[in-house]
Amino acid sequence: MLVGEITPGTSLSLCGARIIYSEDGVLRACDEYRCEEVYVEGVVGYRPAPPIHSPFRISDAVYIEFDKKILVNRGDVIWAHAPLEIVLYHKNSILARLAPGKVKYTLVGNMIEGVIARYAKSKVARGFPLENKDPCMAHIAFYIAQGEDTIRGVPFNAAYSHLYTDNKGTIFYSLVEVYIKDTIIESRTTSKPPMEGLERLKQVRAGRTGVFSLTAPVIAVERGWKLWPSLKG
Amino acid sequence: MAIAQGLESIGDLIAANITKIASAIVTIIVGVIVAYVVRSSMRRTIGTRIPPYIYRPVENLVFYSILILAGILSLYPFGLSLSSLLVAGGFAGIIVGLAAQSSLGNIISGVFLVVEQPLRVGDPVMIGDIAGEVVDVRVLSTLIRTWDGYLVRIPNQTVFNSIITNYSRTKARRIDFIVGVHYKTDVEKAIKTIREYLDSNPYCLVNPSPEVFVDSYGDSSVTIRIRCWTPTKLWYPAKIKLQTELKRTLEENGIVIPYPQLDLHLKSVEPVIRIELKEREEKNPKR
Repeated sequence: MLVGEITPGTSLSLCGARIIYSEDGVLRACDEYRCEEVYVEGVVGYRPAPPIHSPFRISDAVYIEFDKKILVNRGDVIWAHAPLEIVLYHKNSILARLAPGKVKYTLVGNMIEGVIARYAKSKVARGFPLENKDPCMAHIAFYIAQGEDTIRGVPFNAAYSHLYTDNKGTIFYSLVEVYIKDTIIESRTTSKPPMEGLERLKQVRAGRTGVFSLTAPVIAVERGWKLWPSLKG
Repeated sequence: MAIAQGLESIGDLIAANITKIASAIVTIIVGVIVAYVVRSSMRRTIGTRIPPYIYRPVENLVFYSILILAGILSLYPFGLSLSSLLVAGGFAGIIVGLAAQSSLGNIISGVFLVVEQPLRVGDPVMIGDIAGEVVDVRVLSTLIRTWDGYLVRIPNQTVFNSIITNYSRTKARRIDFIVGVHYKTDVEKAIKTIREYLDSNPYCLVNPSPEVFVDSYGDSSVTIRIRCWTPTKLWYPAKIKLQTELKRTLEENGIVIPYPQLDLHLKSVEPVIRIELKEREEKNPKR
């Protein structure tokens, strides 16, 4: 469960992050990249959030690369897994943001107009949520609202996404609409739950990177962008 | 006597036009107040919502437009209309233009800089041999804060005519450096170790992917070139982090970064032996 509370004198290991809350009120939270220490009083809560802050706050976008290309048609819903980060909070104050495991970023699109996005690789399935063996990943559904083609992955704006949970504590991102156009692939993050029977997870103020955009929940990148050549060592 | 008469006539002129002068002064004061109030409210409302490179030119345009308008309006009581000002301005423009060619050049270049936007406020840039962050693009000049903290004012004409390198316009920027490994090192292992380190590092982007390859064979080491793309905003901390951590990573994996080495090859040792023999003969002449 990624939603819970921690009391003084206890410690917790959560998705690779370590949280120690000492009796004298020092909360120490460490992930792969850094440790935060803060004096705090009373119960501290933790819950998942879109992974846009840790370790760097450089982009609102997350790019999910599928393990294989998938042929999609208008009206299809495809499911994948997307990463999360853990927020430690006390009342309305955010105490720390922790990245579960290693973090990578990628450039999606071309060098000038593309988007830097948090990178994650995922299996993909059509029509139903994948079995989730990693509790630190959330389910995400992409609704193909326009176009048909094979796609290798989808970037989406995670900062505008809501998180939902079912009765088992599984986390879901809100539905992302995908528009496959002639030259670009566009994604629009909605606030709709991806399926019925989910409860919206109260989010601690997510905050955004402040990147200026007139259509903030929308990410549009050039299609068919070439992977840059690499020399594998 | 003549001076006294002159002063008297000026006094009479002021007395006759006191109302017009007062209204002109009031117009200018009101114009200045309005300009400042508008600027202040702009800063509070839209100034925090849109990026500075868009906001600053708009603010300057609005502020100076109000001031110029107030100046023109203040001349109306004296019977000077906009059309007469434009005619007068045409002649004056030629005279002023000749006298202030460079200033006009700077203003025009400033307009082109705002329109074309080769640099924006906050951009890390290099203009000629001045490198730093753009603080402001003004009517006559551009302000750059150099990396060591100095404020440099560059005339807009110079900026416009210079080669401008803008480091922030692309989404990613490449870090490129070399490391030398010992000739006895397994080069493939070294490349694999470096590659694994880059793949696990959040600073290096997945795409464009990092590159690690043997670049050249140096005097003392095999030179391995490392290229890694990072988000533009993280280029500097990434460069420091990678160069610092990579040495430790190589050391942990038993890969040696050698000192400069010089191998000496002696063709013959004969002279040394001769000297020794001679010395022995001198010590023991009977032998």
